[in-house]
Amino acid sequence: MKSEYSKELTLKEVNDDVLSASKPPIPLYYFFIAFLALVVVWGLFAWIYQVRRGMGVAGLSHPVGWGVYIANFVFWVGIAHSGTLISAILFLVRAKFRDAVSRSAEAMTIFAVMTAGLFPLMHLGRLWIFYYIMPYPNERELWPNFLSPLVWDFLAVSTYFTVSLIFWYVGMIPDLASGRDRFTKLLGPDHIKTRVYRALALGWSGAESQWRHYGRSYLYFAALATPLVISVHSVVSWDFAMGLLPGWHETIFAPYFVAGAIHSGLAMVLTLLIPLRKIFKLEKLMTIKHFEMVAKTMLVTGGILGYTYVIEPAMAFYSGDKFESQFMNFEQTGWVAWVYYLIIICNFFIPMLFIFKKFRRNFLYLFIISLVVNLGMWLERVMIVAASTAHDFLPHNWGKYTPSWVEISITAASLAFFLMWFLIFSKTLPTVPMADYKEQLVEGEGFKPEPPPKKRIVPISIKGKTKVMAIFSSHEHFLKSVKKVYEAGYHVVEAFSPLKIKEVSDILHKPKSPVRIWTLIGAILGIVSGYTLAIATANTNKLIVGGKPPTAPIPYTIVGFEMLILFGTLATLIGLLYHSRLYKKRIHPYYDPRFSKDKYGILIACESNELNDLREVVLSENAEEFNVRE
Amino acid sequence: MLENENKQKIIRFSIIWGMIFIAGIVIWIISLGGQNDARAWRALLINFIYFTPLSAGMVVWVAVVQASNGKWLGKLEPLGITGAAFAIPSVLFLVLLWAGSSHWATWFGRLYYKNGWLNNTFLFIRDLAALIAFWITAFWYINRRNTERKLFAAGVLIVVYCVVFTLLAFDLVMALDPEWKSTLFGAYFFISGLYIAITALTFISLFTVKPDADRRHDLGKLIFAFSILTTYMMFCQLLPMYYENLPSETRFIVPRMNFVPWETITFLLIGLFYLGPLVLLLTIWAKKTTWYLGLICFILLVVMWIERWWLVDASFQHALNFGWAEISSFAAFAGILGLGMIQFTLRMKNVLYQTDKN
Amino acid sequence: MRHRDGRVTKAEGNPESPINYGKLCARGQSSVQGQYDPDRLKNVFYRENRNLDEKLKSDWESAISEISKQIKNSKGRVLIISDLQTGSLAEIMEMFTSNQKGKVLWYEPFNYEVLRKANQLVFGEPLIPRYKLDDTDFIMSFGADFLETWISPVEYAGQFKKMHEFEDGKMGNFIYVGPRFSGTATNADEFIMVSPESMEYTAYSILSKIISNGWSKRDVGSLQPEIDNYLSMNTQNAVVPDKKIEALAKKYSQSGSALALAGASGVYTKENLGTAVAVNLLNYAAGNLSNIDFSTPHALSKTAMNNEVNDFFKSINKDDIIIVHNSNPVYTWSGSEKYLMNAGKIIYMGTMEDETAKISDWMLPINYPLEEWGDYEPYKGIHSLMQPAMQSLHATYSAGNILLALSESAGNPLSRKGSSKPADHYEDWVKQYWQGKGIYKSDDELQDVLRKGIYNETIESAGSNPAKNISIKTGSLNLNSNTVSNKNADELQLWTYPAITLFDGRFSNRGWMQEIPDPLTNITWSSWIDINVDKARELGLDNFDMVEIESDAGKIKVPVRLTIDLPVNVLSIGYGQGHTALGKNAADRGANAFILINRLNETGLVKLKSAGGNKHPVFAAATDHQFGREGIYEWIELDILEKMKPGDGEHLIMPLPEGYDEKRDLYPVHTYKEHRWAMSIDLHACIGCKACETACYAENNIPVVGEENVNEGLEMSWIKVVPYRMDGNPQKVGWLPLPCQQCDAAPCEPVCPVFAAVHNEEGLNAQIYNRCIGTRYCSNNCPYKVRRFNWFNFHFEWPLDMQLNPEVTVRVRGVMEKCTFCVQRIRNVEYHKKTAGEKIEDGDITPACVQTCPTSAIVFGDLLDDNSRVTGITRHHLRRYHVLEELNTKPAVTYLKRIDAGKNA
Repeated sequence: MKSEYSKELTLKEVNDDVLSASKPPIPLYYFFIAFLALVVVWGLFAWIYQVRRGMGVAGLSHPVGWGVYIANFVFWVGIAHSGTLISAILFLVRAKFRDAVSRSAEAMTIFAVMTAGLFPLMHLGRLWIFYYIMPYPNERELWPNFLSPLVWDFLAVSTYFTVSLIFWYVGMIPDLASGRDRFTKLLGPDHIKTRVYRALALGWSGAESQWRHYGRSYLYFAALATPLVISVHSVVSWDFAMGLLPGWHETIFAPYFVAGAIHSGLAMVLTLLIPLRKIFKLEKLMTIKHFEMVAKTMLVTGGILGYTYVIEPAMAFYSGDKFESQFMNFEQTGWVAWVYYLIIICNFFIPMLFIFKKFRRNFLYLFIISLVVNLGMWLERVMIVAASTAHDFLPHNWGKYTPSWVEISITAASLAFFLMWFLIFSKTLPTVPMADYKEQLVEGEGFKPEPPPKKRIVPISIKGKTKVMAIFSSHEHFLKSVKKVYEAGYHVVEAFSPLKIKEVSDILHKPKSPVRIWTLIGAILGIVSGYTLAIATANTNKLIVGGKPPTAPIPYTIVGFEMLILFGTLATLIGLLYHSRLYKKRIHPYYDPRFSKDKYGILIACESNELNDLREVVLSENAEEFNVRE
Repeated sequence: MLENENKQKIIRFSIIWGMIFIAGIVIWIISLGGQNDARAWRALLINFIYFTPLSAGMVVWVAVVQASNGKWLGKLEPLGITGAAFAIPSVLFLVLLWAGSSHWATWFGRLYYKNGWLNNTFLFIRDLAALIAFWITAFWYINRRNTERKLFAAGVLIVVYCVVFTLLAFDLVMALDPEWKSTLFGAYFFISGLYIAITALTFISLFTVKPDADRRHDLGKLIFAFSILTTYMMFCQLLPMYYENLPSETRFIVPRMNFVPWETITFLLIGLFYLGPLVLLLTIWAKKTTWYLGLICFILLVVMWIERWWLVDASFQHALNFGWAEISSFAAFAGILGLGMIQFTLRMKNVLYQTDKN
Repeated sequence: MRHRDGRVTKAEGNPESPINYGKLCARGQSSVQGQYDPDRLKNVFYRENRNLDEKLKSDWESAISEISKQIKNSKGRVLIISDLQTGSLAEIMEMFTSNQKGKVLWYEPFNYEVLRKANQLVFGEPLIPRYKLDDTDFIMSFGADFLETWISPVEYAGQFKKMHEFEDGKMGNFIYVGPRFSGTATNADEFIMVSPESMEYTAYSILSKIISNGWSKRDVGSLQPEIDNYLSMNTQNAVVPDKKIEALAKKYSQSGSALALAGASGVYTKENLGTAVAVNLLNYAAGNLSNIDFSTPHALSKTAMNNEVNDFFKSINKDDIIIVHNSNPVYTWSGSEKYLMNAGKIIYMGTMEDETAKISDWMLPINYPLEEWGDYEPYKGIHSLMQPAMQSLHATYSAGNILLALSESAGNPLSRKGSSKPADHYEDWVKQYWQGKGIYKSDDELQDVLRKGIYNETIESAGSNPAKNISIKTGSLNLNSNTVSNKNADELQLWTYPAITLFDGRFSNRGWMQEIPDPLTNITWSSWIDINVDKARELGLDNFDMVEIESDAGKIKVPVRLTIDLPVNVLSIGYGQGHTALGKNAADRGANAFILINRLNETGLVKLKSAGGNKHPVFAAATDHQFGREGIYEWIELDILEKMKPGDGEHLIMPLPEGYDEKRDLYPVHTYKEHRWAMSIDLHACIGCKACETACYAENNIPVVGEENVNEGLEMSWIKVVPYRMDGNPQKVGWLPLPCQQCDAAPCEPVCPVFAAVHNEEGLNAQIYNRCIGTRYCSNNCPYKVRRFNWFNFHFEWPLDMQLNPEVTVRVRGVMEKCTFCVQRIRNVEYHKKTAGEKIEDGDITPACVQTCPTSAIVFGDLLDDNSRVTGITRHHLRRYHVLEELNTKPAVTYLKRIDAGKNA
């Protein structure tokens, strides 16, 4: 049976559908881009104005030191999460529905992090010396304070950006290759688009020797990205949980924020992809089934939020703590109460409608609910950020908060900024991971030959031998003939395929990819250097803060962890580039552009006198072509 | 012929488990009274919060796998279901704890925070109700797990599990130090519960249903994942408490980190319970190799018990007191669980091996 | 005075002074800001033929010649209206005017008329005696706000602290009877809220109780019939329960040394006078007269009574030339303008271009007191001597020189009696005067007395203390007229008072005085009128609705504030706002209460009608309730305190190594090598006068942010004195001065990513401005919220920038700032001691707030020094506690609970 998530499609169709989405766009598209750009520019002006005048132009005050900016930061980082979640976690649990949406989700991650990253800068009182927060040997002879959650933020978010970028790009390489070949055909090799794609595709040829490392490293990327997602939003939550204000200092915050992040992220996926599939005619690729799964996932995250909404007041009641309970009372009856209840409705009750099929399987409902959740989650961030500071320990300090026009403009601009990037992406890069998608299709044919008994092959140099390229269009025949050829003792030099076929490597008894060594070493190096950095610098500074000792392993764990992920990922990337020879731009000499689309090929070396027998073997598996290359 | 042998085996094991149970109970009763009285009762509590999540979790795991469209359980499914055998014992043990609450419950006959939440009777009534409700839901799910509405049922069971065990966590563990509170503790409790359960499930399965390499690999991965998740849940509590150093919070950490011997136990737990699998089960080989996986599971099950012990006792005594009270109560619980599971497999075939109703 | 390269940067009292002992009130602290006021009068201006819109620049030569010509040719008199002068300048003025058959009017808006009349009536002395509060043990004040503005507040504050503090098992009691819950009232052990007429009634009922019970020490029995008659006729005013009266009468007459005060400044009603008379009788009958010393009256006794002023104004005609010196009758005396305009010429000599300057023909800018020679004699025989503290900032002259110059060019130069040649310079005059007083003989002595700055004449106390014999005649109390039966239903009683910062409005242009909130209401930059909440509801008024208040003297528009702190039928408004001139900060802000005052026959009755609209004033704090939160402002009941033994009291978590407890803390021991600076604040002594707040502004270059920004919550004060009402008893208010607590485990520090907030080796919670990148996390995480962020570049307009303290950085926008116990002063002393090779003694270092506190409620010192006062207090004081102790931040500021004498009072 075919994979339940996709309509009948041939590999070719996948290519055409996806890549034709990046045909020259219609005027309306340009209009949108221009409009968004305009909003961004306006926001930029607001920002400059704020930097020139001072933070006072924002609605902030004593005691409410943080407002919409930090809320936006948290919100956008949250949005970023679903991307990695969908592609990494779902990849690990082998959830099929991911493929259709993962690429756009990852793109979303990148752009969301880009947007989020701006806000910590915006809320700085002295933007012009923001780099004080970076750990580098500097003339001030002062290292940043690795006890500060803000430094953790810096590490986590920058790591997150790097890793998701790598993850996204690596995932795209085979598709870029298909794009390259397609555009060379349609637009000629010198067209700018072709050139860009050629450069980006890093000479990917879909050869077995590449797929082998590729598959492994992609798995490791996923394995590293998953805990990273969790850690990043935990770190963000600790910006608040580390504070001692009632409503901030909650142990549950980390999981609660992570859930919330994914919740809003998934909502954003719906918000973006539902129109996208219409506009770019991807209905065949993105079916209601995919979206239903997203909705189901939101049931889980929504549930976790609901759980927290109950636990927090419950604990305030349980512990009879005056500050806690009065703060709760303030949230539920004070001037913020309307937000409080709105949040619970938007983030919990409304998404719970997904329990009913009716709402899960209807694009309109999905879209509306996703919008509601986005709003709700944004409000929740604002609430968490502003309410606690506005109502803390000493009543005479209590204050209010309303965003100023500057904050609102900048917030609007950030949304425009994000959408702008996404629009540009959707027109220029493959929005659906074709290679993965193709895997699903062929899986249908469900043919898994057992690898032949291991037998020793006399290594023979392919020099002076005749090389034969056999081309197939059927996954099954391709595999069978690889097996036959191998068993017949011929020297299979290389096998090309448009999609990852683990079996080939098994048949040819190729060793396990050494990329894992790279990953391991990188990871260990990372965690060690992370702890070392924190402890060493703290002991050079010799500054006491809050009575904490300079050597404080518990908080430094975060530094160590982020470094672990960062180094691990980078090492893996290097490993991949090195072993699959992606660093050299030149494509494999026997490469055929069709390999990136829907054809399979085997490159065999044999003595010229064996040619006929070989032809026998290969044609028996009805190869389409049998080309002897001198 | 072979049937017979099987029966023999089953009967033999039933008797052994039964003996263990009775022996445990008897010795435990003897260990009552005297200055160790409170400790004996706490031992009972420790085992209650060890075995209840263990058995309940096994059932819940079936639901979890089903809810996430996993199809790999196969022969493990009935095994998981047998966890339900502990339903009645767990309830009875809770009643027993209630009966003895005057000996061990810190909140007994006292009024905390001017609200009646920790009123002894109210507390046990609601916890019993919750526990019973959970088991009812469990059986309800077990009977529906092959029908149209299986996913829904699974979802419900998972939700009920989380809620009920949060309540138990707050009432029976967190309230042992009524001055202390942590919003995440409930979640920590039910996540670690699932961690214990999957380890136990794996361990038992290696002797009974003998899963194949791929299944072992998957089980290993789950233990791995849940050890990390549990660690995360603990770290999320530790970090804020460390960071603000509020007396109302540090009172949980201090006895466990500022004073030996509990400090030593803490490091043991960090090494094995929390971060153990991360190292020990990292490689595919580790996950697939039966004897190794079994060994690790065994070690984990031991440290998991120690973790429960550490959760409870460190709040009460500076010294480590491990003796007959703990051992005997453990035996009692283990015995009844073993006996129950065997009998369950024997008598509830229709429940265990349902054919797909659709 | 603190100087920095030839400019005064801060005002500090003279420790030698027998009056303030080096302490200053908020207004005193602000004197330097007056010196650098950008709106000061800088040039000579004149107007032709009273065209008030024009303002022509001129110069001194022409001014002197012009004016002297006019004086020479004038057929009429030359009159001077001046603020109170006692020494040399007074001499000059008197001589100057008498030469021109004119006279000087010593005009002060608050001339204590009522008090002096009462003293006249009872003791035959129209004087303001010197009250000695320190050795009383029971004070009753009938509306006299002696801790804020009444006569000599700083002096009284110091004395009050002594009488009110808890020493060897005893403490003096203080009862406040009056219509308004004033700052002074908040410090009373009991506040008895009565309307003005009931205030008088209460006084008399106490008196009659004393007489009828035969508790009186001296005989006033002859007056009893009259009093009883009055009491029986005005029973509607008997609001205080009889038992209370009885109790007060008893306590008052039995106590060893009791004193009653009355005569609220700025209130001229019969009721107020009656109260004052009654209070005098009380003091005579049962009080301790030795606490009232008429032999050294206060200088204010010299000021003109209202009818004098009135006659003076009436007598002005077009031939007269009037010289107005440093006073502003147009603003402070409703209706005076038209009389002044009768004069032929009005010559204004002052530092600010105020309402009076606006109608004058000549505006002559004179030196600010700090640029001047001068002297002042607050009490007979106490001379405070002033020499110029700095060069004149602008082209200004001293008033003395101007008068000398005028007289000279007018043809008859002045010369001091006894000295042969005319003084050609005011400085000579001053010195001659001092020599005349025997303040110094030789010139080298001069230096010493100037350095000392204060000179006490030995007064031969043979001068009979009039308070010993009473001169009152039966029937002269004329009490009957006091029945307020002529009051219509729609009329309300008005109760006016000098605002603690703005006083009579002369300080209204000083940013500090505007920005520092009114102590109890926390309102800044605006004016309002208080009304009883029930009355307001009855009139259908809501908070801060605009109303129009009309009296027989005039009408004003002002928003109402609904409060429980006022009796029904009473309105209460402070003086000081509602200027039409004076400067940017003062002009067109709020309403001027003087307009309502008819000095000659003040009924205190006003009509109130809604003016429509609503004007929300600006608040500097959110609330004054603590909502049952423990550990914020704490009271301790007297009888509990009495039972306590040495060593009792709360166990505090010390900001020292011993503060570490293995059973509680996750952080290691935190040790200090040389010092651990700490502070203790006695809440029982703090009277909420805001002097420390002002001093902090002055010392630490704290910018004034202005009305809008305060409204946004952006104000910058580093130490705030906030009122907190007792839970369950809202009319018990305590004052909580809240500087940075310099916590040992400060929550603000670790969250800073760049180590801008760090703990220094002496325990200070330092803020390093040039590291700060402005994340504001520290402020968010500070449980006391004592950190302040620079939301804008607040710039100091010239010449205000000359007041800046060069030892303290001026912060740019985007930087967090905070109190550091005046680290610059600490470093200063440390440096000097080190170079001198001495060790620092307790008390060597005084942060600005400590230095100025009139009641010495704040103590600063080193916790590592076992003998320092702060150590003693922190370790052993019975009333010690930490604010928000349970957060385990280990604050270094120890508070001493306010004593609640409650029932015992």
